[in-house]
Amino acid sequence: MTTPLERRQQVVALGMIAAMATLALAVVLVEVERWHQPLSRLFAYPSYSSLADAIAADDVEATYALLRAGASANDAIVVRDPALTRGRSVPVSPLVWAVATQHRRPVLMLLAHGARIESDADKAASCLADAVGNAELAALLRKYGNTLPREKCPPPRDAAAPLLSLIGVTD
Amino acid sequence: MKWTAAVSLIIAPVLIVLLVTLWRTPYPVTEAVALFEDVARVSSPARFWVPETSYYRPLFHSTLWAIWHANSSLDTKLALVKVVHLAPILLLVVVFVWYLRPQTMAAAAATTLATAVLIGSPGLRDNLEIPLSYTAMAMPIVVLVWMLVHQPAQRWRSAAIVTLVLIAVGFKEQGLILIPVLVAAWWMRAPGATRTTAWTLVAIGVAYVAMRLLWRGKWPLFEQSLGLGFSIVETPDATAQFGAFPYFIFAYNSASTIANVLFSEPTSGLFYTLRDIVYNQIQAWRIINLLSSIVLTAAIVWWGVSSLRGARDQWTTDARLFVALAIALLGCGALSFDYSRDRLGGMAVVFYALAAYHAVYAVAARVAMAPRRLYVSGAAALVMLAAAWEIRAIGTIEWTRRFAHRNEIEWLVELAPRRSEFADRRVYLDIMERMIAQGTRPGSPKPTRYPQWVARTMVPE
Repeated sequence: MTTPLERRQQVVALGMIAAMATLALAVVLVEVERWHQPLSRLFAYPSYSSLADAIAADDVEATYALLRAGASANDAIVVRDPALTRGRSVPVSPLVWAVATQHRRPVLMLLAHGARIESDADKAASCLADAVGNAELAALLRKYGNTLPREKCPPPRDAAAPLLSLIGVTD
Repeated sequence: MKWTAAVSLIIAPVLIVLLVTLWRTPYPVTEAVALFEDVARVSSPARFWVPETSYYRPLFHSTLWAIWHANSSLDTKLALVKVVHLAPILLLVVVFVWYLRPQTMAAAAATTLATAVLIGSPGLRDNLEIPLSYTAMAMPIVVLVWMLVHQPAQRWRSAAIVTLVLIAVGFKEQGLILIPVLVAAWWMRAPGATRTTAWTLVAIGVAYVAMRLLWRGKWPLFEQSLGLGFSIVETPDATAQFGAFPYFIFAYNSASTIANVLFSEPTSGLFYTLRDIVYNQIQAWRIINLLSSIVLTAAIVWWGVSSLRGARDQWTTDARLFVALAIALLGCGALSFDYSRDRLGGMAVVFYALAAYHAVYAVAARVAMAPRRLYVSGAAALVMLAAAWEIRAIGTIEWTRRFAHRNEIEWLVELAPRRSEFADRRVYLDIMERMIAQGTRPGSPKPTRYPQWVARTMVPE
C-alpha cells in the first residue's frame, strides 16, 4: 500500500526520470539517424566539386577531401571572381588562389600536403600576399614556403589587379 | 537491482556515445606529438621519476613509455594509449552508479541526475582531452577509495586505499587531495579509515612534498597564462604585474577553480557568463550551466549543513561526504594556485556529484511533504534541474566532437610550421609524419549540425 507521501515522491522521481530518459532517447535517435542517414543535414558538412570553390570558401577540410579524392595540389585550377579576376576565367595554382582569396588555413594546408613551390607564379605567391596587403600571409609563405623575399618581388603590372598581374594577364 | 539497471539504461546512451567519440578522436598535433617524443627518446622510464620539472606525472609517463616501447605497430600503440584514457572514464561512471545502487524510484532519479552531474561538469569535460587526461585516471580512484572507507576496516582494504592514492598521485599531483580527505575520514570515524592508514598517508604526503621541494629547480613563477576578470594575462605580464606580491593572484586562481566546480563560472579565471550578461550577448548554454549549478550547489549546501547539524553526536555518511567535498574543493583550489583551469577541479567534481545525489534525494523528499502549491513548483524545479544536467551531459559529447574537429584541423594546417620549427628534432618529426594518417583519417567526429536553438543549449555558437 503506497502512502500519499510516497506517491508524491514517486511522481517527482518519475518526472525527473522521464525528463532525463527523454533526452537520452533523443541521443539514441540522433545516433541511429547518424548511422542510417550519414548524409542527412544533421551530419553532412558542405562539400565542393572543385578545389577553387573549396579554397574560396576557406573550407580546409573540404579542400583536403578533394586532394584525398585525387585532385592535385599543384595542377592549375580555373578560377573566376568578379573582383580578383575581373570576371575572367583564368588558370592558377591552388596555392596562388588561396593567397589571392587571403585564406590562411588553405595556404598552410596546401604547403603541408603536397604543394610544390616551383613555378614562377608560386614563387611569387608572397608578392601577391604583399600586393593584397596581407603581411601575415606573406610572412608565413616566406617562412614555410620558401617564396620570394619582398625585395625580389617584380613590380605589379596593374596594382589594381594583383592576381592578374602575377599570372601575366593584362587588359 | 532493477533501479540500478534503469539508471544504467538512461545513462548508457550518453556514456557509450561519449566513449565512441573519444575513441574516434584523432590525437592532436600539439601536446600529443611532443609527449610521445618525450617517451620515445629515452631508453628507460627512470627519468620520469626524477621530480625536477613542475609537471610531475611519473606513472603517466611510465605507462606511456611502456606502451611506446612495446614491440607493436604505431596503430596499436596509439590504440593502447586511448584505452588508458578511456577506461578510467568508463570505470568512473560504472563504480559511481555501483556505489549508489538505488533501491527506489526516488533514489534512481537522484542517481541518474548525479551521474549527469558527473558527466556534465566542466571538471570532467576538461579532462577528456586525449592524451592529457591525467586527472581522469584519478577520478574513479576517488569513488573506489570512498567506497572502501565506508566498509569495515581490513588490512587488505587499508593496503588498497594506500595503493590507490599512490596511483592517483603518480598520474597527477591532484591525487594528493585524497590524503587530507582520508585523514578527515579517519577523524570522522569512517569505518574503513584506520589510524594506520591515516598516518601512512600523512607520511607519504609529507615525504612527497619534501621531495618536490628538495628537487625544486628554478620554476617560473607563473607556468601558464591567467584569466583575471574578463581578460587573459600572459605569463610575462603576470610576472611583471604580480611578481612582487603574487598571493592575491594565487588566491584568485584558487577561488576560481573552486567556483568553477560549484557554479561553472568562472572558466580558467574568466567570467565569461558575466561578461555575456554585461554585453547583452547571453548564450543559452552558459545560462543553463550557471543556473543548474547555482541551484544544485544551493541544494548541496542546504543538505550538507542539515547533515552536519544532525551529526553532533555521531558522524553520518552524509556529514562525512559534505566535509570531504569541502576538503576536496579546498585541495583543488590550493593545487591550482598558479593558474586556474576547469580540469583542475576534477577531483572535487566526484565528491560534488556524490553530494548531488544525497542533496537531490533529500530535497525531493522535502518537496513531497510540502503544501500542494509548493509541492508542484518544487517538483517542476527538480524536473527542470534534471533536464538541465542531462542537457549538460549530452553537451559534453558535443564538446568532445569539437575537440576532435579541432584536432583534425590541426593536422591539416599545423604541419608546415612544425616541420620548419622542429627541423632539428628528428624524433618529433618522425612521430608527427607517422601520425598524419590517424589525424586526417576520414570520418573523425565533427559537431552535430543541430538546429541553432538546440546547439545553443549545449555549446558556444
